[in-house]
Amino acid sequence: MISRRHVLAGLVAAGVPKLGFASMAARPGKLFVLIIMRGAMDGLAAVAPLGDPDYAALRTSLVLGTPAAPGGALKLDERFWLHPALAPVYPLYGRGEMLVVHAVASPYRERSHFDAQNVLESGMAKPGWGGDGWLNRMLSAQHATRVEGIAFTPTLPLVLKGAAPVSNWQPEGGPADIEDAVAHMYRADPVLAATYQAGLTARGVVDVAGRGMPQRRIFPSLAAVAGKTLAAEDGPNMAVLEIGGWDTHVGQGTVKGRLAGALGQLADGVDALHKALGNRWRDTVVVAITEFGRTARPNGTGGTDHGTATAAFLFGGAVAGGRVLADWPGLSAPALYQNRDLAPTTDVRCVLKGVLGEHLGVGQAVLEAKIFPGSASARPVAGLVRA
Amino acid sequence: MALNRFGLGARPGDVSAIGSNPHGWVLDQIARLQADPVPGVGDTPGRLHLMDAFSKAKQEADREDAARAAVLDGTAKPGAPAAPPAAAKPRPPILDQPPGKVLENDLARRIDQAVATDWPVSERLAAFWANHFSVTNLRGEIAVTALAYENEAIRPNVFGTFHDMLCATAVHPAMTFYLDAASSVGPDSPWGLKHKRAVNENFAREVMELHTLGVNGGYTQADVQQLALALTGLGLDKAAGESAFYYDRHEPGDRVLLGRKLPADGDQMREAFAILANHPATIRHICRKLAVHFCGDTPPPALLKRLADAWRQGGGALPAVYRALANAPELWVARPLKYRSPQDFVLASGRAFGLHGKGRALLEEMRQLGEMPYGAPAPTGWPDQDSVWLDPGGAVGRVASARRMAALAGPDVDAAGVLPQVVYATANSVTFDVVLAEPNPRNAAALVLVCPEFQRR
Repeated sequence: MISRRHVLAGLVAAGVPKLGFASMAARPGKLFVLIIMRGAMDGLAAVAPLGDPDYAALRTSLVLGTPAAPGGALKLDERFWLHPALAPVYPLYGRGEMLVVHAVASPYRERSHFDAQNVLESGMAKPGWGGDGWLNRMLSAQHATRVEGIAFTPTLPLVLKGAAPVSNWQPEGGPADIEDAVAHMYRADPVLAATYQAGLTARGVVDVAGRGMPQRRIFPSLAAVAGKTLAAEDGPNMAVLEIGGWDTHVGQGTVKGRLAGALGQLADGVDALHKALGNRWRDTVVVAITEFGRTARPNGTGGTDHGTATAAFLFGGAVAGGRVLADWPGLSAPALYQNRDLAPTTDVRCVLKGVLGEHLGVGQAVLEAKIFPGSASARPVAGLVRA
Repeated sequence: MALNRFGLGARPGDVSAIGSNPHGWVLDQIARLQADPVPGVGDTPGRLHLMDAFSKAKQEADREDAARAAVLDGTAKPGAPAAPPAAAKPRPPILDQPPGKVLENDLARRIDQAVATDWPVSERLAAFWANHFSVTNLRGEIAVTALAYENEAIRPNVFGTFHDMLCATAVHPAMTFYLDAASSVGPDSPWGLKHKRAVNENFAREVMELHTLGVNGGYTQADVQQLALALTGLGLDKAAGESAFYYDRHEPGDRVLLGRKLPADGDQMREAFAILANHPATIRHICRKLAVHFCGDTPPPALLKRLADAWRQGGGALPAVYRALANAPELWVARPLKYRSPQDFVLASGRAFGLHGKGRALLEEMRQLGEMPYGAPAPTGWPDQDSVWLDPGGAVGRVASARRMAALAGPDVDAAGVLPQVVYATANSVTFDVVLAEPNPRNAAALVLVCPEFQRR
């Protein structure tokens, strides 16, 4: 099979102007967005188990305000309440377009951000086991021959790295009247040539889709551009976004504070994505995950240290939401992992396999052999997506 | 080749100046006592006092603004002190020095120094270590002290021992602010009992994971907690603008770190750093990082072994390790070994076209390309692998960046003349053909900066 980038490289070499995404294969019609929350989000703060009998004694200074008070937590069910900074996405929950998975963790059980993100993105059981990411392997398994995945990030994240053609995009300006000369010089350097072509392709489609939009390097702005790009007639099917600000060792806060700021950005970004996708929202699943959770008790400095299980979010019109999915381990001291962290009861790969299987039609055998190797015991969660 | 691999990129004329002895040039470059300080930065106490003055002036100005606004919209409380009219009082000049701007000015001077220096290997190593012991501009106190930190803790020790650099960085206020060490208090110390405070393990974890042993360095969660307790007492003397050790915040009792006892009556911080600085896992971790920096993502095991041997023979003296690098046949091959990171790419561009005094604009390019100094998103510092930086968005971004930097070089730039002076070897003739064929001088200069040979070192 001739890959898309080879075709493009050949066209540029022959002096034909760059192509966008037109005249591509029919799209399967389903959209997928991955949001990586880098820095370890405190799941017990974002989705607080106010109904757990041990919550108040455990969380002490980090207990969320009484639900009735203004700025109080927002009710999800009898046990779980949403952090008020996530209010912009709360209506989605009511419409069944938001689902929370709680007490979720990757198979990684140490506490290094960097190794944990490696596991989260590689889809392997251990850090350093793979140089490519599960999202790219999924594109490869679907024999993607054009750029179907774009990361709206300054550098290409591991989850999207690999053999299938992908790209990343960030706001920049300026005319590019030397593009052909550059492409010509890079012909002798196949790696640079392919990389550059993928970059041009992404820029072509994003620039068209995002025309007239403010291009800023903040999460809600990047999310809006991503939404427009996915919604474009000939756009890609998958986008990756990342958002930081979660490593709240100090001054985590409750209604206000560092965590509230990060959650507010997340909510604004999902809202912007929703608006930009327009009627394609109904075909979309957005998954927001983080590398691990944080200590169940506050540390000595009004924050939390690196922990284990946390919460994950699914948003989108295709999500069978309006509920919190949790095999809840409880918060009593013996129930905590190492008497320290929320205990993990759901493997994040179960969630991802469920979404990839039901939403994107990836077969079970492929999921286990190629996309999440060694995950046979992590059975996909069924029913995450609307039938 | 040596100028690009070991240095920060060749300037026109450098190749002929080095002559036929590039190996001797590298050895001369590392025979130094310290890396040159970045000029115009001042010291940490001075910078923290400046920050203090700025905060006070800002609060005062904000208060007056609010009072004036309240008068205007009629919400002022009766009897509230009236603010002077805006025009009556000159704006204090310190308000024009917000912390972010202070940092940008400092960084611009660091870039100017790197573009002009005759000691590029020393500058490269200083930046390497500043990134290894990374602090990120998350708050004003870090912004104003970041370059003072580099001048006081990193640059004097670039040609010293790893142990000294580890100790100097660990107790510097910039690091203390960054990794929350000052707020970590022994829970059973007198101060901790009185104020009901406890430890925060952030600093201890990153010291072991990032600064010394490495993530697979054989330590456990218990070691993290033991080190965190051993380091309690480290704090900040706000009045002096300096770090200090508060014995009444130090956790009493013996500690056990990596199987070694740190007795209660000893200097546990000093002993912990002594254990960590020359631990076999630290040697392995740091030698690997240095090797990756100079010869790419997968350094040969034989080279790693020679670097570790040099470390041990030199007792942790860094020049011994640098010499082992300079003498390594693996680094004297003609083919490029590494893709230039954005900072490397921008500095090499500045040196190629003599962009002197353009530090502010070059800093903006580093930001655009996603590698702002002291802006790493995590305490790991900026990554140093080809696999991170060589990506589609970056490849396209470099073309735009090269165009802007070419504009800084002015209209009379001789791109075809500069090209053979700044890229190694005869290049593939395609590059020369393309640069020669470009009629617009500014575009031709941009093509020099984006040519394949210029992307690697």
